[in-house]
Amino acid sequence: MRRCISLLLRLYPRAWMRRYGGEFRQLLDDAPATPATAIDVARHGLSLHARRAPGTGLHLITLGGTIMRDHPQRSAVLGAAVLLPTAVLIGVAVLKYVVGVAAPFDAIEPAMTPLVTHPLGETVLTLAPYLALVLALLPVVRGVPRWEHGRLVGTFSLAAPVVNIVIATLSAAVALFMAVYWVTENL
Amino acid sequence: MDRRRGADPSLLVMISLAAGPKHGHGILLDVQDFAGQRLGPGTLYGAIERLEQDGLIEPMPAEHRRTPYRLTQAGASYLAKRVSELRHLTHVATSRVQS
Repeated sequence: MRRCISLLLRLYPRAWMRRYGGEFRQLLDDAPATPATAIDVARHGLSLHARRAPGTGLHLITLGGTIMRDHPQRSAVLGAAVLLPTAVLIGVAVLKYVVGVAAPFDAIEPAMTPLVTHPLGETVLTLAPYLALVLALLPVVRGVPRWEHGRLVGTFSLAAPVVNIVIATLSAAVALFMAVYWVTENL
Repeated sequence: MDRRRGADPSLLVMISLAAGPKHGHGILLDVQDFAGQRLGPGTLYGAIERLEQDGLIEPMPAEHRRTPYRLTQAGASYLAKRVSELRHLTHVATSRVQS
C-alpha cells in the first residue's frame, strides 16, 4: 500500500512537489498507509490539477484541443454551420405554415425532401441544434471541481464572446422549437 | 444513520497550531486527539497550503524533512474571531435545541 501511495505522488504537479514534496513524503512515511490514505492522496493530487490555472479555471472540454479552447469564436462559427440547415428548414417552414409565405419553402423543398426523409439526414438535422449549442458553449464554460468535506463542489463561470452567445441562443431557440413541435405532434 | 461530518480541516489545523508549532504528522496526531478526526495527508496539506497562502500560518526551518508550521499574528487574530463566531453559534443552537 505504501508503494501504491508513492506512485500516486506522480499525479501531483511538479511545482507543488518542489514546494511541499519533501515534507509531504515524510508525512506519508510517518502516517499509516491505508486505503483511505491512498484515496485521500489521489483526490488531493487531482484537485491540485483542477485548480492549477487560477482565474481561468478548468476548461470542461479538451476534445477540441487548443484551437477550441483558445479560439472559442471558431467553435461557435462551426456550430453556426452545423445549425444552418436545420435553422433554414425551420425558418422557411414557419414562413409557409405560420406566416403564409410559401415561396421560400417551395423553392428549397425539392432539394430538402430527400435529406429530410432519409433516416440519417433526419437524425443529423434533429441533433444539429444540440451539437451547435455544445460547440458554442462548452469552450467558454469554465469550472473548477474540487472535493470539500466529502462532497464534490464546483464553481462554474461563463466567459463568452458575443458570437458564442448569439449562436448558443439561436441553437437553444431552434432546439426548443423542435422539442415543442415534437411534443405537440406526438403527445 | 450517523451523518456527522468532520469540522473544517483549516480550522482544525489552526486550533492545533494554537498550542504551538507542529509538523504535518504532529498536526494529524493532535487533531485526532482533540477532535477525534483523522485527517488524510492530502486533506491536511490542502489546508496547510491554503492557510499559508492566506498568511495565517508560516513554515519554520525544516527539521530533516519535517517542516513545522506556526500561526502568524494574522492567523491568531483570525482564529480568535472564528472561535468567537462559533461560540455565538453554539450559544444560539444550544438555546434553540433546549427550547
